[in-house]
Amino acid sequence: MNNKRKRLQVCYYAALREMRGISEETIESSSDNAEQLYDELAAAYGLTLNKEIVKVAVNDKFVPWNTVLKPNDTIVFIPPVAGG
Amino acid sequence: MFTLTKNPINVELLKEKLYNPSAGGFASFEGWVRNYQEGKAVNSLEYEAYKELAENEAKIILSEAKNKFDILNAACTHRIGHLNIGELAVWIGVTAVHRAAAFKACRYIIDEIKTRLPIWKKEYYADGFSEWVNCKTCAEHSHDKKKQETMYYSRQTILPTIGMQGQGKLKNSKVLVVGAGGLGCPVLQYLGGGGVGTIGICDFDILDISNIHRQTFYKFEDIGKPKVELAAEFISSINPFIQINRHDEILSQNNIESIFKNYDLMLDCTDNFETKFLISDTAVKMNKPVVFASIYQFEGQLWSYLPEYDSPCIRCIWQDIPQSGCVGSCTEVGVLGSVAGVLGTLQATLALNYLLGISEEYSETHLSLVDLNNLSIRKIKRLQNPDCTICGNTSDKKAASKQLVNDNIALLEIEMEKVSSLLKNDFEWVDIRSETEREQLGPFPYAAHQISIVTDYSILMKELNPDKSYVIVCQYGIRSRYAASLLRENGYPAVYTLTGGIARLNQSLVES
Repeated sequence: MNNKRKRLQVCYYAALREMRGISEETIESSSDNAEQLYDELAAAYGLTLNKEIVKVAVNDKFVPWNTVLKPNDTIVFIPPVAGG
Repeated sequence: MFTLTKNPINVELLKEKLYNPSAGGFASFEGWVRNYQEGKAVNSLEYEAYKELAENEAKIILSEAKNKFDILNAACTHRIGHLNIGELAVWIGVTAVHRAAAFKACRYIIDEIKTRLPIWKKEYYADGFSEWVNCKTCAEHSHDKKKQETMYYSRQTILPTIGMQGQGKLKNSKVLVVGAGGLGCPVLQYLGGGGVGTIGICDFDILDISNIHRQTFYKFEDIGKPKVELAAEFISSINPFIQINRHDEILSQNNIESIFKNYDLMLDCTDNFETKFLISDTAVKMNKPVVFASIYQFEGQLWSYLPEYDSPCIRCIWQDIPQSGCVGSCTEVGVLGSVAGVLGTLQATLALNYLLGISEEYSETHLSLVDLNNLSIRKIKRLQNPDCTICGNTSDKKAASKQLVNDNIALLEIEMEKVSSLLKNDFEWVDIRSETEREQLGPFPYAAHQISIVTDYSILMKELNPDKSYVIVCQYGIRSRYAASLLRENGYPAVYTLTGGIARLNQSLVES
C-alpha cells in the first residue's frame, strides 16, 4: 500500500448496504487495489461477507480483485441475491 | 400513403398525387371483386377492417417497400363495406426511376397487405349463403375468434417495432417460466397478455398465506392449492388465445433437460441459488437462452444468458453456488411486494424484447442492479470468463467439467423409492428443517438427527461422522442438496439429498 491517498466513489448493494448502512459514499483511501479497499472497509465497518462471495466492479465493469484503483474510480461491491 | 375508404376508389386522383417528374416508371396493381370463390358463385362482398391497426400496419409495409426497393413513392387504398362484382377493392401504385423496382415493390406491397392487414372479407354466394373468408391467416380460425384475437393485441401491435409480424413471432414462441411466485406472477401476466403462444409453468409449491402479499394471482381462498394450477387458470382467464403447459414438479438434474428441450427461452423466477445454478449450467449445456432475476429486500438483479451472443454464464461471475444462508432469501431477509413486481415486469420486458428481436446490447452482456431505495439501475458489464468451469472456451475442459458437474449432482440426489435399494439400510436420516417448518409439513419420524439449520451449515460437520452414510432432508430438497454437496466437498463421500424433500414425500403418500 503506498501512502498516496485518492478520492474514490464506493457503492454497496444488498447485504453489504445493510451492513454499511448507506448505499454510496465518497472516500479518501490509500488502498492500491480493490481487494485492499474491501479489506479496509470490511475492517472499518464490520462487513462480514467473504471476498469469495462478493464481486467487485470498477467503473461499471466486473473486474478481478487485484485490479489497481485510480483516483475518482467508482467501485461497486455486489453480493449475489437469490430471492424470487 | 395508405387509406381505407367506404367510397369507390378514385384512381386518377391517386395517380396524380404520386406524379413525380423524375419518375421513369409507374406500376400499379388493382384487386377486383370476382364472381366465384373455390367453385362457388359469388354475388357480392363485404370488407371489414380494424381501422387503426390496418392503417398502422400498412404504413409499416409501405416504408418497408421504400427501404427494400429503389422506388420514389408508393401508395395504397383499400375499400371497406359492401362491394359488387367488378368493383375495385384494393389499389396500389408505385413510382420509380426504373421499371424493375416499381414492379417488385408493387408485388411486395400487395403480398404483404394480403397477409398482414386485419381486414376481413365476407362473401355472399348465389345460393343465398354467406361466409367470412379472406386473409390466409384467417383460414384456420373462425372470423369472430380471429377478429377478437387481433383486437386483443391491438394496443401492442400498433407499436411500430412490433406490428403484426412481431405478434406472429411471439405467437410462435415457446417460453418456460420456472417459479410462479413473486417474480413469476408479473412475468406470466405480461408474457401471457403479450401473446407468447406457448407458456410452460414449472412450480412444485402450494400456496402459503405468506405468498399472497406479493404474488398477485393468488387469493386467500386458494391457500393450500398447487400454484401451478392457480397460475395456469389465471393466465387462461386473461388470454384464451395461448397454450399453457403445467409442470407440477421440482426442477432437478433428473427432469430439467426433458423439460427444457420443449422451449425456446427460459425465465428463471426461482428463489434459490441451487436452482439458478442448475438452470444456468443446463442452459449452457443445451445452448438455450435464459433471462434471470433475483430480489433482495428493496433491490434486485437482472441478467441474461444468450448463447448466440456469447453472453457469460452465472459461473463466469460466481464460480460456486453461494451458501443460501449467507446472503439471505425472501424467507430469511424479507422483500417488499412491489419490488418483486418491478423486477418481474423488467424480466418480462427483457424476454419480450428478446423474442421480438429488439434487444439492446446491454441486455446481452450486462448485469443490471436495480435499486428501488433510490430508483436507480446500474448496469455492470460482464465478460465471459475463459476459465469458467461451465462455459470456458477450451472445449475439452468444458466437456470434462460439465460431465463432472452432472455426475456430482446425479450421484447426490436420491429418490425415496430408491433409498432402500441403493443404500441397503446402512445409513441415517438427517432432518435439517426448522421447528416452524416441521410444524408446517409435519415431522419426519425416521430422522436419527434433527439439526435445524438457518444459515450456518458448518454445524453439520461437527455433528456428523465422515465415515458414515447419510441422507439429508429438508422441506423441498433444495437446502438439503446444498448441505449434501457441502459435506461431500468436506470429506463426507457417502452423503445424499432426498429429491423434492418432505413436500414430495407427503404428495406421494397422498397419491398412493
